[in-house]
Amino acid sequence: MFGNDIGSQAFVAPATAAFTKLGGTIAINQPITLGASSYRTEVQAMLATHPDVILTEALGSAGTYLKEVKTQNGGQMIPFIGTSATIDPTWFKQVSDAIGVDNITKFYGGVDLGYSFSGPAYDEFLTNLNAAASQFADAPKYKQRGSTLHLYDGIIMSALAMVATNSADRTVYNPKIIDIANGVSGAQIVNTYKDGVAALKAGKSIRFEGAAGENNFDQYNNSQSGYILVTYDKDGNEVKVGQLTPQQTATLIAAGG
Amino acid sequence: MDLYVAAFGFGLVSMSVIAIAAVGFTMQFGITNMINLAYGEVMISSAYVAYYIDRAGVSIWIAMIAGALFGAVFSLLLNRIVYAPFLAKGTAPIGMVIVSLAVSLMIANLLLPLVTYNSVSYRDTGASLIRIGAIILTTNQVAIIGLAVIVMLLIHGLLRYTRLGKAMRATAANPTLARNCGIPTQRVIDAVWLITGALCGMAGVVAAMNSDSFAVANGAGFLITVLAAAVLGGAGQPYGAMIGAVLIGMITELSAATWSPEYKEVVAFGILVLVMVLRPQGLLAKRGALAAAG
Repeated sequence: MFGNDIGSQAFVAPATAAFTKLGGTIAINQPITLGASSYRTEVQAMLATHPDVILTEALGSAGTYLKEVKTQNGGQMIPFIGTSATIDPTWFKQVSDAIGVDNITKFYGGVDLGYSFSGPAYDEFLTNLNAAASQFADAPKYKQRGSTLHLYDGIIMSALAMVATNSADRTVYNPKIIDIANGVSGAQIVNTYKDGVAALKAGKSIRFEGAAGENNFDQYNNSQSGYILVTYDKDGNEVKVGQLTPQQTATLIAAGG
Repeated sequence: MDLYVAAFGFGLVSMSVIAIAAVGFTMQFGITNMINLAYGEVMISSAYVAYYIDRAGVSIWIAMIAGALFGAVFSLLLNRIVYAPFLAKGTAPIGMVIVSLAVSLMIANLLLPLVTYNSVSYRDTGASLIRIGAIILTTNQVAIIGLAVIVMLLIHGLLRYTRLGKAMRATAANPTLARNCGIPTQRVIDAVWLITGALCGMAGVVAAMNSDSFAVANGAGFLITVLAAAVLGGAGQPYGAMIGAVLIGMITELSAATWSPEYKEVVAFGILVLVMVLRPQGLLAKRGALAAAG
């Protein structure tokens, strides 16, 4: 069950293809209109397929949909696994309000990026995140959310690429992001935007190792550093319950396509 | 086949929610000639009033009454403080639409810092399931259908058999003539805003119950559906709004069962566009859709 927005739907085809290749069965693929007032018919159609688990990313509508699942399934939830986008205080609040905290702690699993949450780059990220609390009170809750870190690093790498190419034209600076992420021979390791700019101005090539650690983009512009499997505790804090190492992930990718 | 029968049952709930809201909206327009684009925000504000009362441990059905009362008073004040002064200055109808749009945005942005952007839900009442063949509804949903039927009957009774209803219809037809005949049109208009505001407030709570989860942003979504049902039935025609609600509610759910659910609202609004092309005045209106009803 994924929202019909492009960000969510981009997951569906590769995820279902890989899941099927790895031996799973997709009972129903259900794109839902985000923000609809009800999903009763959709849930009824889903329940008719008797799924073992619901894979989901439907931001803003998850509470409505999952509450209907609980209602039409006689008060019983079906286990549901969310993408890293579901590891979010807003998502937790919406869904826990709808189906109850106990049902989240018992039936929810999420996939997040496996980072160490340490190092000079992470320390600066944390300082900036806490400073943002004056405008966005929930900001500190995102301190160990992998998706937040990789987005933060992505913005910094894009900015450093713009500085390196002296251009804001994405066709010009985009290719440079790979060099800054993966590093070239003789590149200086930098951990912050400020250090990166200083090194670039000194004529050096750089490799950015950010809050989420180092990146290694492959020929498909994918960079994976393993994943962690998480759930929530009753206060909405992310709790790690499992891990996939980079090597295990690479094996799965090779098997699943 | 079971899915279609179930979708029909769900359509009964959807149309009930839309009907309560659409009848209030179209009555506001029909009698005051005011297209109130802040209607959706008043709905969501009322839903939040009921939310806080519900979270304080009060039954949602009692909280709904509070929501309706809030909607009534809020709508009356909105007219007295904002709309009526603009109307008194001779603001053109399109100008009043802009004013109501501005009010809508103001309400939404005043609400946000108070309730935040997070989605919320009413407490789980543990409503039990009722199964009639393939139709599956909760007791709350059956109650909503029953409530909608009662409200429609009350509106019918008001318009047809009460002095106030007759005064409303006279004011809608010709306010000047009505006033000259001794009808206290200002009091009638106040009554209209109170009654339709109560419908608006009740509809907000019912819509929020129907959605299971709601936020400030849902106000605009509510308005679009309400507008569609009202226009489909004939602007200013309460009975037309009821028919519009039936069509929009049913088509939405049945199309979700027939095609991919992501197209269900596309189908519903596509039907609206088709009806507007074939019958621009709506299903029941005798004159142009934006003319005051008689």
